[in-house]
Amino acid sequence: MITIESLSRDIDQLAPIPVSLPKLARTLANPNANLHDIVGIIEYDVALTANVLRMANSAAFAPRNSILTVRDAVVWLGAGRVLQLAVGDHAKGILGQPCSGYDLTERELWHHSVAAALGADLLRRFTTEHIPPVAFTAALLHDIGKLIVSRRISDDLRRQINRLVEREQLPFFEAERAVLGINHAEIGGVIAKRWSFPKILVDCIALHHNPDGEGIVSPALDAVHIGNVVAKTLAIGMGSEQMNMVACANAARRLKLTPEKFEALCANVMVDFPKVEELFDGAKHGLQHSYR
Amino acid sequence: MELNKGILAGPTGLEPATTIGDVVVTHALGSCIGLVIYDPIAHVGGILHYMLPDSTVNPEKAAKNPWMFADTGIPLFFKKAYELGAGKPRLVVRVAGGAQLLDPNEFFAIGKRNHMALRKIFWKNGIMIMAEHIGGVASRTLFLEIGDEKVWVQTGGKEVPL
Repeated sequence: MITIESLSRDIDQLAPIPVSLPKLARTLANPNANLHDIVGIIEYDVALTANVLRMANSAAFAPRNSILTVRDAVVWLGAGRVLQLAVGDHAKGILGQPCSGYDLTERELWHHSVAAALGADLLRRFTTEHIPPVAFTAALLHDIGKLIVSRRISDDLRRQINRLVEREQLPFFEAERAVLGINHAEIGGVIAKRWSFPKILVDCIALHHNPDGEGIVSPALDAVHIGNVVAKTLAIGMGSEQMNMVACANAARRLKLTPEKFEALCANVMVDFPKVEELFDGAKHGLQHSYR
Repeated sequence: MELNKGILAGPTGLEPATTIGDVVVTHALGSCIGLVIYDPIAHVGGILHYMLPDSTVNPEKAAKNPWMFADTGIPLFFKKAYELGAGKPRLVVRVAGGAQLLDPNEFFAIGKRNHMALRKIFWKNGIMIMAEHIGGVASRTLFLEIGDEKVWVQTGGKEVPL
């Protein structure tokens, strides 16, 4: 069994998150925040400043003239996009690691996270509901708990989980909870809380498999769930969980999605995925098929 | 050496022909379908990896990449095989993929809709499927060996001949 109390040391062993990122997320979650506050947080962090300027001047955002100040970068990209890019840039180092407890090789969890984040973000094209920018960030981090479970899980516990999935037909995250006492989503929520991310982001991560369950209904949570469903449907970063998760139709209905719009969303994610990967990694995703 | 041709069409486009002994592989078939066709006399065959059943959800993308959709990709794939010398009566057809999330309402059932779209096209055109490995919750990798017409699926750490 894994207890929340025992997680502190594991969380500390993950690369520590710069204080500016949760601060930026909290500021953006506050409807009264202004440009001055946002610029102040970024300028305080030299690495973040350099990153924001690099991203703003990248081919993906192609400004007509070079962007030289943080203020101009925030205006050009939008504050939400700045948070997404900054968290993504940090997360790729953590999520790019192999996650052997889930049979995910190097960068597989990162690819899955990018696809889910893109799914949550591109939902805006298909819904009239307001999806806050934090949905992208939460979707990017939704499986971060897997990194901790992966370090703690023994082969025997993995076998127990697989047995429950195969014999009892339990969804993977429920089997995980039955064996470990907690699942990767809940552990992800503990990490986000410890990193002082705002509550909306913590909830999106902790409940990403169960958007109906805890009485917290939010378009951001529904978007993160759908983003994960898209990534799984496209088989990007499956690992041992495979497609063994419950896809919540209520979340889709709350966002006024239809099955046709969901299909169009999948097509959009597939097309845009290499662009986003290139933005973070400087290289495009390889073909999903090949000769040998 | 006899010229053998393999074609591989997927979400990212069409790849060129190959020669004897080459193995055509398509990875990460989740809800997607991998369609294998092979003419054992002309030794022309290949794999189509399509993602979605119906191009009307995004005609613009279908125009750029018809391989993404069943309704635009499948006819074009057969046409390409015929251009390379395959004969319709000799073509052996195999299908793998179409996995599903746990979705009692079948709202997200792209795997099932992908499979239905293929069957509908085949029924209209009188094409028979020789073997299938469809559904479930696990992704698949699909292999075709040009020359020997060996086809197999890798899923859940196991290899299954198709």
